[in-house]
Amino acid sequence: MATVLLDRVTKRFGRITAVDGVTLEVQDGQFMVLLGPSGCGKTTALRCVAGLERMDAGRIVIGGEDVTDRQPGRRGIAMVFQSYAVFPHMTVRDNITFGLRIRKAPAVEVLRRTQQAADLLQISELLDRYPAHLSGGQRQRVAVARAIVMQPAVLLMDEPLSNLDALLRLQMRAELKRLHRETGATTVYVTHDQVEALSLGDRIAVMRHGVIVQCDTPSAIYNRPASTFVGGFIGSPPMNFFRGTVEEGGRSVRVAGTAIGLEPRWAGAEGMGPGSEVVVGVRPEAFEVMAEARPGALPGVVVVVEPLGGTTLLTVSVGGETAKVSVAPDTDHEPGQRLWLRPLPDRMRLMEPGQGRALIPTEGGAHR
Amino acid sequence: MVAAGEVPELPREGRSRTEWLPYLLLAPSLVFLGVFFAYPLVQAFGLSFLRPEGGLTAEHFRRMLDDTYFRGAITNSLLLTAIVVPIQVAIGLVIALLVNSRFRGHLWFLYICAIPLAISDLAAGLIWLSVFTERGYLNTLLHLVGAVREPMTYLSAEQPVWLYGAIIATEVWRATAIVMIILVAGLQLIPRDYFETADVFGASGWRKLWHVTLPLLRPSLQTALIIRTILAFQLFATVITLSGRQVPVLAGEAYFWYGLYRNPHVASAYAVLIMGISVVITWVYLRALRLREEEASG
Repeated sequence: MATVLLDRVTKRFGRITAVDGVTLEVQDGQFMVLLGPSGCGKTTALRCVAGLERMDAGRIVIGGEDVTDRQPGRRGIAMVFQSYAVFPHMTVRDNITFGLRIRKAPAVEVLRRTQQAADLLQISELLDRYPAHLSGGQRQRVAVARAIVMQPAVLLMDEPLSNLDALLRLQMRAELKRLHRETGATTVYVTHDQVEALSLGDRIAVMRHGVIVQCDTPSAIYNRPASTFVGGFIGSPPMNFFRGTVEEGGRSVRVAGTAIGLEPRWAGAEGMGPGSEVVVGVRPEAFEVMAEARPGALPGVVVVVEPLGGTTLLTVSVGGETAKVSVAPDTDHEPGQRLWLRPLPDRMRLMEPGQGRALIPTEGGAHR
Repeated sequence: MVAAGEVPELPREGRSRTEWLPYLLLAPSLVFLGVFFAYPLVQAFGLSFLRPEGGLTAEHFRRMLDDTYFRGAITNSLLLTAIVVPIQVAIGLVIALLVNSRFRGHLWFLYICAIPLAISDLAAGLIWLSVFTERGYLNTLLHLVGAVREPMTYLSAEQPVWLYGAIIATEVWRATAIVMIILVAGLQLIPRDYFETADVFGASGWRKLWHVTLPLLRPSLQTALIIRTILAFQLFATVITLSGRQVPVLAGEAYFWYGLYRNPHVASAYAVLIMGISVVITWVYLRALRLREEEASG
């Protein structure tokens, strides 16, 4: 097992800087997710760790050793590609043993580890089949088995679930989590799917424009996004943002004519001077919904009611802006209904209106 | 097909266009194949099996088999094919792999290697004739460096190795490019992920070539082999340019019987024989290099 360090890694393609001085530390045995929209540089960063891209600057350190100049095969890594890249001309068994055969592992060892990996991925019955006779989900399992059979110190995965249909993706997600617990391999996992990131990661590094904008635990990323970008990218539906003005020396913020009380920690923050413009971020489930006017509650009108089974999603018009509010499914709401939304003070995030940065940087975040 | 009524009716004009367009696009190829391949094929069969006055006969084939040149022609055709095609595929593969390694200037290398594609077989024969003829470039060069005093005669039946060598060199020079093009295209069809997977697992260059590249290139190798082998049996312009009839080949005999002896029947018998050999060899290739059904479609 090993730690992974990306040390000021920069990778350019022509005039485009795909990865811009990224520093990231992955602890031994940690499941680190690189999350971001397409083109944010997450896959390039992963390929730099694998040694499949030549970096323009920076170092890759795996298990304390600088591997920057080492070939991919000499870094102690294994990788699962988005396309699986399961060799069509080899049986499942030959695919799984490919790496071991290259390493010239003893036959008994190959047999034992193949069986172990196949059992772990539940593909023991498929060992003599060719990939053309496998479903997408089965090929995916073969690709994962081929990687973990190497007992790599570091396992790299590039969007491994994105080619599966929704149900399979859900199953495989849980499988991968179990697998990580059982193998304990340090894992770097790339995805653009925020649900995948939240469910799998010990930590999530959110990337945008080639830099990491926040790196933290899933709950910190969700509850205390470092910027409007993170708040908007993570969560479905995303965080609601309201324009507000600071009042009472930072003890409250006025949104759509309503003064909302703030937790005292915000009072001292930079950008909280009286009259300052701020952006107030509130998650859809972080409202108290009330049938009558109360202090600190925003008046609104229900526009759309969407029952989603487990919850019901309301689209509410609040002073010319639209908010998404998620409520319990048994509550009675209908379009045109008036209601009052009180943001829960401990769930509010205040951001500056320019770059959208949170006014209190994420507590305990290792984000650089 | 979607049941009628399920989809909104398309405008008449648009519908008739979608129905006819594929056929319209296919038509030129179909006409070309029909006029220049299917019709002559039927005609050749007719000529080779029918008496001029009507009725089936094996007479033309008997004349072909009894001809003095026949034994030599079939031997030479088989031998030249057996020597030339493997050399072409080997060199074509090496060049294709070089091009695919994307070294600096690989595109120029590709263009230069592809030049012989644009040269007709007759012209290729003349180019190499100017090398190997008595007062050709080879003798001039050898004379200049003092290797020979008198010009040597290479293209004569007394020098079968030289004569054969010249034909092989010409054919390799002329037609390796088509193999290369097919294989370059085939290599570019192989997804990069396969090679990167091999890299991550630490496969060496040779291992990658042997366990990843060549197996995945097999469909293209098969195509190249079939095309080159069939064309090798149709070989005659370069051979005639370099050797006259000293090295008879099957297609050359068809040409001589047609042009020299004015006997289209025996010429057609040769053509049908060439086709028969081509069919058999193609079948053998398809079987020997067959993708196991399990492997088809990765």
